[in-house]
Amino acid sequence: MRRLIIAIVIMIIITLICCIEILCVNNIYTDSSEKLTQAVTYMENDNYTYAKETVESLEKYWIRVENLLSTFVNHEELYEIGTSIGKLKALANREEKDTFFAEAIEIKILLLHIKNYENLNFKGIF
Amino acid sequence: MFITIVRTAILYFFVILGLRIMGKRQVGDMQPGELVITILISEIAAIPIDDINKPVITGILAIFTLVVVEILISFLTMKFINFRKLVNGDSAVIIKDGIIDQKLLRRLRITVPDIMEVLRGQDVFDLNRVSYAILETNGSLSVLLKSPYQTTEAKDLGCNADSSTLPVLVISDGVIIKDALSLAQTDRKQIYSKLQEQKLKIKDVFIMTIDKNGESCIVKKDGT
Repeated sequence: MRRLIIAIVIMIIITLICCIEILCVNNIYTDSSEKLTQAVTYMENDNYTYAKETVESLEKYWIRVENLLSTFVNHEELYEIGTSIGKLKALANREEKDTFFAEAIEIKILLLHIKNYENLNFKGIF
Repeated sequence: MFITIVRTAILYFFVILGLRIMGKRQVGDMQPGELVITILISEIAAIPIDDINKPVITGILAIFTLVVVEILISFLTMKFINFRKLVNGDSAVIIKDGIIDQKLLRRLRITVPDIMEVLRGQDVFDLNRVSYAILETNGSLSVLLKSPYQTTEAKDLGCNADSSTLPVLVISDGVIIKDALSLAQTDRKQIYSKLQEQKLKIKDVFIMTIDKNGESCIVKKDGT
């Protein structure tokens, strides 16, 4: 009976960790996507200074959350996103719109992939 | 490199913790499900050690999920007989009165040489001596010999032997093991008097065992 109680406690802890992870990943996805969309909108309107500032704030935000995410998510994927954000900054500086949009889409897809991979869904299970 | 070492140490700790929580028995005593889970745990632990891009927590969570599943299944097998049969299978009588159940052997995919090998391992060389041979769910073979071939016991000879007593280790490397005193039905006073008989101090004793009849065995430390 003692082992059963321990098992139930472990099960609760595991469920809690998973819920916290899903919440974290979803929040980070939402925040990052918002910043990214904002940067893309500024670029579309040829507002390069604001686009650059937004990308910089996205970069700072990413550096801050990367450590937390690395607890749950494959480090390789996080590294890819970090590199892409770095490229985005350079592209905003050089005002290369087309490549900027392509890079932004890539980051969005990578973020979406992490979100879908970590959330409980049919595709993820099977 | 250091990361791999730290990750390995962390996972080792959690694997041991998981196995301790499961309360595993020795490999030979494991039921099929338990064996599968133990192998799976070691495999899962190897993944984050091998690939440093995988977060350690994924391995730890997987290990503990298996531990929880194992405990829940063992709880259910304890409570429900049908579930136990489903998970662990049933024991099977493969030899009855010296006659092998060939149909059952085919169904279990066991060959006669396999059976003979196990029987020989139990000092049974003649099938005719076997009254029952039962294949247990953990894969071991239990053999009951026909009565003329069974081992003679003291009571069969009409001996009224005293009940055997367990020698308990009460001193190990010059230190009294407090918990063992009650098991040996003795106390410090009796131990000191036994040592005094041989003019020994506790620190001079390497091993001392004592049983509930007061019979003791003392091994001195080298050089005393």
